Amino acid sequence: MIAVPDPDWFNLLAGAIAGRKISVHTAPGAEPLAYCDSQRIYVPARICANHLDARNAVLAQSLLLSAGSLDAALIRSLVGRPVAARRYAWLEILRAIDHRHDQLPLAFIRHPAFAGRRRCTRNAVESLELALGKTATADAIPDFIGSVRPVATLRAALAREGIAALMRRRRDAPRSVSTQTPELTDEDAATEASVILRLFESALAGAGPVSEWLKKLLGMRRSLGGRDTRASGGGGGDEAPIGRIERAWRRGVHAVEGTLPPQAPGFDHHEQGVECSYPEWDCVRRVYRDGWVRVSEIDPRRAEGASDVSKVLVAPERELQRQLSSLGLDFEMNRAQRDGSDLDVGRLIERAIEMRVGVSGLIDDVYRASRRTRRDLGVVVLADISGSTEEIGANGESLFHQHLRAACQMARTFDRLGDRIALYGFQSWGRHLVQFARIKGHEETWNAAVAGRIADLEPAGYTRTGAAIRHAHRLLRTSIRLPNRLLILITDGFSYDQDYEEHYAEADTRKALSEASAAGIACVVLCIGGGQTAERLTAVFGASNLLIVDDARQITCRIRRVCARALAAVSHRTFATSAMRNH
Amino acid sequence: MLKGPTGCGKTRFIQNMAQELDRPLITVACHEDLTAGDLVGRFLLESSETKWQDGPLTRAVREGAICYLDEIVEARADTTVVIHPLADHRRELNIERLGERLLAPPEFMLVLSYNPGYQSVLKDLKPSTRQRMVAIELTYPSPEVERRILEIEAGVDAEVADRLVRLGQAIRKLDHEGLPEVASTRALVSTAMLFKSGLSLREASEASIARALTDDPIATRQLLEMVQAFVA
Repeated sequence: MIAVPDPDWFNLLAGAIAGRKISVHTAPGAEPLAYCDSQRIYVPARICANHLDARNAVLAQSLLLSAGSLDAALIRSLVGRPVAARRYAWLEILRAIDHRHDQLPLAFIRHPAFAGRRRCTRNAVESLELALGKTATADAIPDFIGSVRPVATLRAALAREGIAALMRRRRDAPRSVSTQTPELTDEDAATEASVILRLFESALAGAGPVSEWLKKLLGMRRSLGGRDTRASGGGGGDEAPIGRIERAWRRGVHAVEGTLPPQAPGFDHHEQGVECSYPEWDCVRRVYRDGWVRVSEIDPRRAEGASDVSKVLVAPERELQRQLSSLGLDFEMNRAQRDGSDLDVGRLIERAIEMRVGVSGLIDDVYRASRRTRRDLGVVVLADISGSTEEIGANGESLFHQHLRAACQMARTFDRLGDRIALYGFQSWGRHLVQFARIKGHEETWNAAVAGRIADLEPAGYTRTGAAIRHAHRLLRTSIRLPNRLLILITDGFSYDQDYEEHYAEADTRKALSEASAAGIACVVLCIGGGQTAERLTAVFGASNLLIVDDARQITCRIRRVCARALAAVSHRTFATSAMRNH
Repeated sequence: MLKGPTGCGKTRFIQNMAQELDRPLITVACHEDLTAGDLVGRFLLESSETKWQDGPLTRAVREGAICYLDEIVEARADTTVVIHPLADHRRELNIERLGERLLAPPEFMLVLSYNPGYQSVLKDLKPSTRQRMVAIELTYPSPEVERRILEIEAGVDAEVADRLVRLGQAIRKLDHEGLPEVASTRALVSTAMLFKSGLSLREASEASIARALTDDPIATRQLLEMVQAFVA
C-alpha cells in the first residue's frame, strides 16, 4: 500500500533536479495546479493524494527552476494570463527535458504525455513569445506540469529584496533612531511596509483591481495594526514573506527603542548571584569597549507560577546517549590488557611468578595499550530564551520550547554520561542587564529542582549573544576546569539588543567565539528554526561548528559529528600553540 | 597518495596496480587505535619467552611489496610518523625495539589513500607527511564510464545501469547537511549486484543507497523518494 506522501518527502528530489536546496509544500487554498515561487514548490493537496502525480509535479517544477524559466523579470508579462502561463510552463518543460535528457528519471521522460513531443523553442524568451502568441498550440497539457505563477514569483523576489532594502536603510540610518518613541517607530514600520507595497504597485502600474488582489495576497493592510501583530507571527502560508519583513523590522526597531524596563519581567532579583562585567568588540573603531556589559546570574522565578513544560521535559532518546558517549575522550595508557602495543612489565613479572608457582588458568593480560577511555569533558549549554523565541516554528511549536527541549535533552544525556554540565538560559535588556538564568549548575545532577527552574522560565527580552558566550567561556575556564571544554549555544540566529544589532552584533559574536576557541573551548552553535538564512548564519558563526536544523528531531544523528569536529579543532590548535611555545 | 571520495575506486586502482606489476600487496586499514607497534611489529609471548613478530609495514619492506595504508587520516599523527624515513630519500625503516634499520629494496612501494572531503577538520594529515607524497586525485567517473563499470562489474544490462547512474548522479548534485556522503560508484555496483542476485531494483537501491547513506529519518524518507523516482 502506498501512503499519501508528505510534500517534504520530495525535498531532496526537488533539490537534485533544481540544482539547489528547495522545499516542497502543500499549496494554500483551493489552488488547482502546482507552482513554484522560486523559493518553494507548492503542490495542491488534490495532486498530493496521488503519489505518482505529486512526484511528477515536483519534478516538473524543479525542472522549470533549473532551466531558468522562473526568472521574475521574464515572466512578468504572464500576470493575469493563466492560460498563457500554463502553455509557457509546458513549452519550457519540453525544452528542459531535451536539455537534461540524460539526467532525469527515465520514468518521467518516458511519461506518455511527452510521447512524440519535442521541444519547439530554443530559450525561455522564445517560449514566452510562443505562449503569448495567437498561434500557440492547443495541446492538452497534463495536470502534473502545473503552471507558472508570476505573482507568487514576484512576491518571493520582492520579499527577498525588501529585506535587503530594509537592512540597507537601517544601516545607513543615523543612530538617533534610538531616541524615537515606540509610537513613532511603529508608524515608521507601517510607512516602510506601504513603501514596499507602492513599489510593488508601480511594478504593475495601472492594474487597479490587480493591485487590490495583490494586497490581499500579500496579507497586508495600509495601516498596520499595533503591537499585537508582532506576537501573532507564525507559519502562516501566504502572508509569510511580508510578515517576516515586518517582524525583522520590528525586532530591529524594538532593539533600539531605548526603553529599558525598570525591572525585567519574570525575574526576582533577591537570589541574584554572580555579577560579572565583560568587554564588547566595537567593530567600527576596532577596539574593545572595556567593562561594557554586565552579566548577572539569577535563578528564574515566574510571577504567574510555573508553566507547563511537559513537552520540554521529554526523556532523551538512548540514541543521543550513544552519539554523545564518544565525545571528549582522551587516550590513556591501559595496563593489564590482553592485547596491546607494549608489554606491561610489572604484570608480566607477576604472571611469570604465578606460572612458576603453578597457578593454573592464567590470562595473558600482560600488555599495555593506549586507548581512548579517559572521559574529561566539561559542557555549558546555553539556550536563547529571548522574546524572539516565542515565534512559532514550522512544526507549530514555539522556538522557545524547541530550544529548551533540545538543551534539556543534551544536558540530561551529558549528565547521565558523567560529564560536568551546566545549563543556562540567556536574555538581556540592554548592556547592563544581561541575565543568565541558571537551569542546572555544573555541580548538581539532574533533579526535580532543575525541572522546577525550567517551568519558571519565560521567553522575554533580547539577545546579546557575545556577552552570553563570554560568560559561558568564563564558567568553563574558572569553574568547570576540565581539559575538554564544550560550549553549545542554542539560538534562532538573531542577535538584537539595545545598541547591539546587525554588523556590530555579528562582529561581537564572532569575536566572542574566536576568543573562546583560542582559549581551547570548542564552540558549537545549534540553530533551530528561526528565519535567518544559512549564509547569514555561516557568516556569523562559521561553517564548521554550526548545525542548522529545521526540526529538533534531526539533532540526534548530527550533533556528535559537529561536537567532535569542534573539539578536534581546538585540540589541534592547542597542540599547535604549545608546540610553538616549546620551540 | 591517492585522494578521492569514498567508493570512487582507490583500492581497486591499487589492487590493479599490484597485479600489473606482479608485486604482493599488503593492505592496512587504518583506524585511530592503530599504533606504530601495529605497523612495525611487536614482541609477543610464546610459552615463557618473548618473540618478535613483524608488522605489515616491516613485512612489506622485507619482501619488497606494495604497502597500502587505506584511510590514512584515521590513524593518529604519532603513528603516521613511522613512515617518514621510508617516504623520503632515506627509504629506511627504523625498528627501535630490535635496534634494527631496514633498507627498503627498490621494488618496495608505499601507497596511502584518503578522502579529503571526509571529516576534514576533525582529521587531517600532518604537513610533514603530505610533503613526502606524490598525489593522485581520483573522482567519480563520468556517466558513460560509470555505466560501463556497472555493466562489467555486476553484469547488468544497459537499461538498469542507466537508471542507477542517473540516481547516483542526482544524489551527488545534492547539497544537504543530512547527507555526509553521496552514492559512490561502489554503492552503485553493490546495488547492481543485489539486483542481479534477485532483488528488485527498487529494493536493492533502497537497501544499499537510501538507507545506507544516512540515519537521519527525514533525509532517509526523502532519499527513498528519490530512489522511487529514478529506478521505478
